Amino acid sequence: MSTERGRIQISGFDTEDIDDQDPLATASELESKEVESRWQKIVSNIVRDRLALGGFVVVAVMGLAALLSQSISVGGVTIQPLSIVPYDPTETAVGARYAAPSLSHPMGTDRLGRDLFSRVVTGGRYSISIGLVVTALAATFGVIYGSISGYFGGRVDEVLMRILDIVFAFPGLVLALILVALFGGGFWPLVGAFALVGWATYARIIRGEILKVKQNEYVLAAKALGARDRTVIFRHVIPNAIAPVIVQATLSIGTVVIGVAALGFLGLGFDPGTPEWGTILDAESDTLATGAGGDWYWWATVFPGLMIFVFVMSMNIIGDAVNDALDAQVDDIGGGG
Amino acid sequence: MSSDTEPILWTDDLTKHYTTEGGFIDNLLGRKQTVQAVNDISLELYPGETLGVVGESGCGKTTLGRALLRLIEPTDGSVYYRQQSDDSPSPSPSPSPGGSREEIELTGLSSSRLRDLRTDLQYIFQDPFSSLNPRLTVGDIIGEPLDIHGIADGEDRLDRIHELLDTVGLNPSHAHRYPHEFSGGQRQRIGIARALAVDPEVIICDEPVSALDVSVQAQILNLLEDLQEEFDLAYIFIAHDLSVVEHISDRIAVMYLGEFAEVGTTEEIFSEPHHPYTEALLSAIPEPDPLWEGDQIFLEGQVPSPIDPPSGCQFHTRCPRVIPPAEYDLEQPEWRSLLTFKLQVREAEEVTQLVTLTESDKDIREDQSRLSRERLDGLVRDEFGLPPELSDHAAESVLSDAISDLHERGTHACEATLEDTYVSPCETNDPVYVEHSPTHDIACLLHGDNYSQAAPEANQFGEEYDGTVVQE
Ligand code: SF4
Repeated sequence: MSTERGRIQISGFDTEDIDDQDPLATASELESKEVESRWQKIVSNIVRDRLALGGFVVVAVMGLAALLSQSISVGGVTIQPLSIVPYDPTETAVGARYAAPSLSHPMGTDRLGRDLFSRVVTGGRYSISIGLVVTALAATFGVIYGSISGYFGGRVDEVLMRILDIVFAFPGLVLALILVALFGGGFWPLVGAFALVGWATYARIIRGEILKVKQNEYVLAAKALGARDRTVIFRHVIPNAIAPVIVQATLSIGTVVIGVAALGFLGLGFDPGTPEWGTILDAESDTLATGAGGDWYWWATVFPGLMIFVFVMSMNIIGDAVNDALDAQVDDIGGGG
Repeated sequence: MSSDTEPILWTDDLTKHYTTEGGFIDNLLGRKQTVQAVNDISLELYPGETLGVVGESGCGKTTLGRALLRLIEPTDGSVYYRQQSDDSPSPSPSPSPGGSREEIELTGLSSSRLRDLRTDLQYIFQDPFSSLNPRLTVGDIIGEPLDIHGIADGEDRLDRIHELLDTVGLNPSHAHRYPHEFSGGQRQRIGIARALAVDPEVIICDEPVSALDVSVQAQILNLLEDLQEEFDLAYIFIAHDLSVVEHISDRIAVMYLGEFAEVGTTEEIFSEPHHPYTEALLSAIPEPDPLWEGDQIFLEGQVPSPIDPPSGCQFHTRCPRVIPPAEYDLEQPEWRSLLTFKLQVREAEEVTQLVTLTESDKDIREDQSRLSRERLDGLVRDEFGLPPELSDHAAESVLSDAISDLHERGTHACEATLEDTYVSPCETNDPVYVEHSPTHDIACLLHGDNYSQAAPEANQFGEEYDGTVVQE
């Protein structure tokens, strides 16, 4: 048995060579371009997928149109001067009552003679912005909540998850309905109600991911370096666990829009005259079948309904594409942990 | 290297027990199990030396490494570190030897003081794939310790990162790349650079090469040796086989089920006297000699579960040299087989769990009552490698009684017969460390005074074992 000390000698095999020959130096720049970030991956996947591209264009056009529909001023300062819609959406009697779609009123007018096209385009402001704000709030809170729960585990996890179970025990839309009925309608109460209902899903999703991610040695490595828990969570854990949350967020924008419309249709949420899609539907709901005198003013409900349908559908298509893009990114974290 | 007489890092009965978290029902019923991962380990690490810690997987060596740095909280015991007391906040390039040092107990430190000490005590992880955050560039990975401890920022930070990459043999211009663009060996170098960034004094290397190809292993080991010389580092080098630590270690501790079986300098570990476990590990190292006979000692069975570790000497379930009871005059292999038989009967519920039935015994499998006494006797002796007739008469009669019990009344009756008659001192006595030299300790009853005579003169391995204490 050799007790000779020193370096391991492997004969017939010069380690110098291996040190010199750097496989990276020969790797072409092309190869490193293939390494895309998560966002690049999503974008390229959407561009490649025709359907998703279509969905994206629809959402972009609707969002832009809603943004530019009327000038926006905050505190007396006009920050968006354009008004692209032909009429003021709340002004009555810009045309005849229930005028059929024509060149001057592309989607006709409603019972008070308001221009439906202007109303429907402007209506996107409410639905889309609520969808975005609710998702952003719910996802942020849910991610932080779920991360704390998953990362610290033990007692903390136990308590936080039981609270989550209680939130889950309520049917979401009904809870939102009750909250709106209690606190009244309007933009922020609606945002609050939907965010309160929505965050739990994100919390649960990210917690599950974090339980997996925190097994990785790089989390322990960060602790060994002296990183604080906050740094470990935000720098090492969440970035590696966020993918399913992004997918869920994209998909849920559509869900929130439908939810807002549903409350609007039930007469909750906004004041009756507000050009919000669900509220328009509610106001015109008596024309759903046949109107007075056997006339059927189909345009009064079909166009707002169509907007909801097209927007949510497009959002879901985008969500699927994002899902595909993130699933496709299999990190090469091989081996055990 | 261990000319410094004062250790830099040492532990006092360091213990880590895990309580398995069962489900809600289990907790309600109080069904908690304790995994004794590390038991009363006392070790010393001297400045600039490498202490190898060797053991099979599941012996608790990684837990030990992590408990040392309080990456997991030890259940009991203490860890001490002797810190350079004139340590300025910015790391001095090399600690002046002989500078006054301050003794710090790591266990019980507040988390902020512990965080400061992370600049002195570092860790290199086993898996180069999961130990690097895939979403950070190499520069950011290595720069992280610099940010955390405010060591360098801006230009300095970049320079330091490039310097570190260069130190570990990587191209500094690759700092903006992501870990997945590197090979396993290169990633391990990144992990080493990250540990070096804070200019530590002690690095715990947790199987840093076991996930790598053999050719790459040698490079990484050489790199670690170079770094040790350059920066005067002390290593605790955890590995699962002796051949890896042989070349890098000054001293070696052999670990079995959360305890050190033997501690000594590398020369002492590799030469006699051995702990029986070390002996088995040593015999498994292949020699680069075509005439190597391969007289490998195969350890029977699995490493026992640390949930309910064996009584007495934990190695007695597998030890080839396990001490026979004084009242019998048995050959060593016979005794080993008998004890294994006894231990397995203890675990078994049915006869079929003890013996291997062949094709022709199909009818027995269906109906165990068809198994004849003679056939069972044969099967048992085959299974456990027992001769048709034991060399000791008294022992033989107990064995045949036990087999009859097994045949007539099942495993529990057989267990009762065996339990009190075949008892090895190894089962009941906890071995203490026997000091063979100031640096060499062995925890085995054979090395103590009481049982050294009981050690068999000759055994199946054809080596003389003289149990007397040999001073080197
Ligand atoms: S005490 Fe007994 S079982 Fe333990 S190593 Fe020594 S001989 Fe083997």
